[in-house]
Amino acid sequence: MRRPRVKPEHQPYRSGERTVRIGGEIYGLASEISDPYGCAWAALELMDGSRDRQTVVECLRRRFPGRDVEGVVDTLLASGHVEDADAPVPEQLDARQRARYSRNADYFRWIDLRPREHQWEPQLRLRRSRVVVLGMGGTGCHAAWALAAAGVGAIHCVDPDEVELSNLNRQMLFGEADIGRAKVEAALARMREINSDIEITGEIRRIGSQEELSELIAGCDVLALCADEPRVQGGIRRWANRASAAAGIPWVGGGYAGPQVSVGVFAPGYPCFECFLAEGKERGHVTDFAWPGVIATSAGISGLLVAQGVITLLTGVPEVPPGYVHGVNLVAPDDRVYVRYPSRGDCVVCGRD
Amino acid sequence: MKSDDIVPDLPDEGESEKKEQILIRRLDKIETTGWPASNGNSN
Repeated sequence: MRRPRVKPEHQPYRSGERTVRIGGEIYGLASEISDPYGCAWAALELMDGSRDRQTVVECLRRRFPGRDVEGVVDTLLASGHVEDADAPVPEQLDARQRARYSRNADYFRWIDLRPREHQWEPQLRLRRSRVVVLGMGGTGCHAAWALAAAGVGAIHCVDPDEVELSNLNRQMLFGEADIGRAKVEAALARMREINSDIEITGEIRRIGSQEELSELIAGCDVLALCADEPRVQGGIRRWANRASAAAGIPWVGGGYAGPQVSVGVFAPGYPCFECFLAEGKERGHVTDFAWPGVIATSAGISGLLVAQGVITLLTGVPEVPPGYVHGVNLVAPDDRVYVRYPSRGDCVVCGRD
Repeated sequence: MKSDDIVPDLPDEGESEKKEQILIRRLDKIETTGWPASNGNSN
């Protein structure tokens, strides 16, 4: 790191005589630093982007003779609260793209607690990625929009249906003029208006087997499963789980049961969707409700959480291990929708017994 | 999530070398707040 600077979103403050808080007030980001003789606070004050690491160390040595000031500095540099004020701007992004994604870059800088060469690394990972979005309903429209807006380099959208009037309460890529038009065609047109810097493709297609799904996702980095049909032969989510496991491709699946939104994030090496199903069944949970009631908010949250899961898998930011289901319950704000079951050794997909 | 100690050794009163180390500890959920929210103060 050439010229260390405390990230602007992480500004420290003294929380006690010998403690410093840094990283704001957000759970998962905020930290407390024990600072027994004031060196950490002094180091953070010096890390304003105007000095290199060695100058910071020398300033601290004069102020704290005989102390391990290098250890303090290196601990802070590894903490994720500090960035390089002299970080290079990557050549792969031109001025227009840097302007388009400037808020992304600030966001990733904020939430990324792994020291990076520059704050654009997660954005470059998105740019290099290819995602298949299967299903262009309420969940799929929001997921595809968010992935396009975020700058995922290649997005392939798949759906067999045409736009209907009853879709317009939640499927935000479509308008009244699209009624009767193939969903994929209308979605691609709208997404290309939103971001012309990425590759957006699609096909009008109904996936009828696990084999077809395997063929569809070959070569992609993540599958965003936003369809819940067909439900026969174990259902499309089971096909997704098996096809993804066979290909070594992570996947995110989302949906809603009326007001309750739940999204699963799965990847090879972690508990899979069928571990989740089996564990839930043993605990007496019924997992398949299919009533049509839905509003823009529940569909939107579902799709946006799918996109969030995809972005997390693609960038590694934040560092959350896959193998969980989370969401919200719109009729009970105090209801925490979060499940992370252990891998089942006897799982036919991911078990190791 | 439990507190995540980035530097695992706490300052130890009995060991002068360790006494100088700082500890960075992720705050527990109960120590943080979900408010205030802004809209980023940006256009």
